[in-house]
Amino acid sequence: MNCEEFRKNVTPYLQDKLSNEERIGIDRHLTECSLCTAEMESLRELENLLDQDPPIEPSPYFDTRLMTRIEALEKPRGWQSPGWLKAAFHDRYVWSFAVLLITTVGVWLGIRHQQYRELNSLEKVIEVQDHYLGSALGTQKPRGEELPHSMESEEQPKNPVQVAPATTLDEEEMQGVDKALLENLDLLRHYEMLNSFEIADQEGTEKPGSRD
Amino acid sequence: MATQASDTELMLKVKAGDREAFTELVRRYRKPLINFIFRFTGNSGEAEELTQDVFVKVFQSAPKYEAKAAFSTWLYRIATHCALNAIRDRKSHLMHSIEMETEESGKMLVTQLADGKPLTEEHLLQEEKLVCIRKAIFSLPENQRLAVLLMKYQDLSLKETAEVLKCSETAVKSLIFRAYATLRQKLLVVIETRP
Repeated sequence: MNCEEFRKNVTPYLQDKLSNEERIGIDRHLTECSLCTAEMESLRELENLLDQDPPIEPSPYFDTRLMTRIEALEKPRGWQSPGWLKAAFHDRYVWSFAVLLITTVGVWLGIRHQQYRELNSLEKVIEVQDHYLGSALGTQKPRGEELPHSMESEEQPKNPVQVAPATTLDEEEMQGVDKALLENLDLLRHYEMLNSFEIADQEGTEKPGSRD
Repeated sequence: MATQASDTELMLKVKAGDREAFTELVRRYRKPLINFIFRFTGNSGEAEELTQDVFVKVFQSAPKYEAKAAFSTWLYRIATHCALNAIRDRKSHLMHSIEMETEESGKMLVTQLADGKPLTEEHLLQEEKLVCIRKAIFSLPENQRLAVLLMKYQDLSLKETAEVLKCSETAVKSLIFRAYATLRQKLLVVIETRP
């Protein structure tokens, strides 16, 4: 064994980790090389110093915490566990989520209902306007405007006198029509004009209206 | 009876569902594992958490366990992986952890001495020596540190250490040689000032 091989094996030798054959080789080299003997003594001091680092003790709750984790692994989780419903019933997060969900659905339904009402109102207005446009104005559209498709009537009024039974929208016809909506819709900006238009009554009389 | 069974026999019992066998393995290895991970990571609190992670992994892997190698080799390989992952995740904090540990242990020493016993120079020197040793070990590169800890403190053989580190025995000897050269240089002052 040479000095380089000795240096590679001296620490395992000091820790008694070498095979018999390797140990014999080290012992023989020590008798032949004083430098390596000094090296070994230096390393022996280092080994003794490292031995002075004491081990730390586990905390007293180590085993308890570990077994809790192990038991949690073995327990079925979620909906597969018995009593999950009861557990969910007592869970504040489940309750918070349920309240949030109900509130969101309620708001959504409310908005949809409101939209339905507005649409319903709009349809009625359109229906009424369509009726009066067809009967009082004929096929003439208000200048600068395009009537919605539903309002375009292909039917030509036969005779203005013969069509409209009333001069203004009565309360019955106004039922369900949102006046605020009427004022804000472009296509209904002539509503006031229409409203003041007197349709021929049964006697055929007609009052002039105002136009834009 | 369980205390006389070998580690491999116990682990095979754990595989069969024996909870007592698992408890016995925990009793045998919790302290060595905590110390191994503590010396490697430099943080005792983290060492306990990581040791628990190791045992949980052992428990979860029990159905697939095969007695191909020594149980200790398998166990330390799992522990090495856990410790390496932890140290790489928190690399910037670990030196601070060593300093915190030594500061805490220093405070603990003062507290104990404040109970009535006189403060001696010997206690302070011992504490300081401990700090130097732990810092010197922690300053080693990871593979050298692992080789030193496994062979020196965990008392694994050359062969077992080589299996854990997945290298040859010659490579382990080389790691130990370089590690000790570094440690001797760093701890020279401590060695020379010993009474």
